[in-house]
Amino acid sequence: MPEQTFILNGESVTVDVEDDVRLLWVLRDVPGVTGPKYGCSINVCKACTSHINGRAFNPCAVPVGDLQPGDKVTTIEGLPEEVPAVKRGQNGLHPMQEAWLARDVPQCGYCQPGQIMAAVALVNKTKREGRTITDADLDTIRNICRCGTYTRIRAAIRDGATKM
Amino acid sequence: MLEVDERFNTGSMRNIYSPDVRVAAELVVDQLAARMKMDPLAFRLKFERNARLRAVLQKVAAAGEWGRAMAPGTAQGIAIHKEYKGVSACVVEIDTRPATVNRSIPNAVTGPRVTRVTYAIDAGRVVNPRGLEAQMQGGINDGIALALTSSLHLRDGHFLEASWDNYFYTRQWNTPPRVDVIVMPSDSEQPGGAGEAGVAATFAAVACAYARATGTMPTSFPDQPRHPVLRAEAVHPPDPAIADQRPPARPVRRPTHA
Repeated sequence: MPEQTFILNGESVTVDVEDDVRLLWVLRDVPGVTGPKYGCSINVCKACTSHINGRAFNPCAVPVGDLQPGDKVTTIEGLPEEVPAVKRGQNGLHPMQEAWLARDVPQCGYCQPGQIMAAVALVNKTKREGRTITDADLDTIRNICRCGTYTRIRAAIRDGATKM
Repeated sequence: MLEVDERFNTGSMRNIYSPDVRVAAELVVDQLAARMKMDPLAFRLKFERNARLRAVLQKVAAAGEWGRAMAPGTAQGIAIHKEYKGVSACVVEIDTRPATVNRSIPNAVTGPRVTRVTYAIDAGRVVNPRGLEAQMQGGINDGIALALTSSLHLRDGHFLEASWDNYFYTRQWNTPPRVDVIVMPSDSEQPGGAGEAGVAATFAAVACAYARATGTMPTSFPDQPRHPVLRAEAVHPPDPAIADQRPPARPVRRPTHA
């Protein structure tokens, strides 16, 4: 079987998987990184949202063979290391994860890793553009939450953004 | 007694049929108030005999600024619900102006936007007020979905909707930028329910607000002429030859929840 090499949460990994297997299954079944959740497999629900080279993407829609050896994939498991230690909170987590805990956002929790990864990517985007986050920015988030936690998600993103 | 046609698989429905019943009732209550030339809140306070319901109505009306001036094409709606040993009342504000309704987001249902929701609940003895608030926030998003975006269409024995790409639950671009939940104090020893208690009054308040903003009496929801599934169906109408091939009735009979 072909070998696939990429950087996963700061460490180089090599897996033996066919090129056309979606990255979500590779992450979950080979190294056992299960933060990215399976929701729809058609890139609609966004439950699997992770980062590739710092931008949000959906591994359910990306064949593993499309990755280059230098590509950096970050899942919720690797998110705290994306900020310097001084920016991590009392639980040692990324400021957005700490904001999520402080606001008591999750209900069932299934979509929440993807929500947090989408939130961090969105805040980083507005920071690159030299802006603070607005309601219009929050309206662009496509991640579905069937519990309807959208209200606290919006509040937590505003909180987390101030500490990123 | 069976609630549904069991020739197809069924799933869970938050608050089951209560939202539908509340919408019908509250739209008619608003019509009665209008015929008597009374404000919807004043009408409900005058004729509602349950003291707990009058209390949540007064609370939500004050916190939600009931009666404040609204621009043409926008309106407030108010509704109540009593279930699960608790009572609740909801004030919403909706925007049905063309610039909002016709806003374009790829592969999304937009339409009218609920811009603000104020919700008061008396759930009796409250053990976890933050948890109760969270359940109301979730129920609010379900109520908005029922009014404006989400539905299932059964055709020829199967559903047109298959996944999140064509079953339109509330998304960030549909959810209200402002939501305020008020947990009423209670000296009751009895705890009430929370999980489904936020849906019915919200759906009804959105329906009443939509009726007032558009000057119409809606009779079906979601009121979405641009619904992509129905648009697709208009292009590919149901085939009457297929209609006779519905799956046979399943013999299993389950007790209903009630």
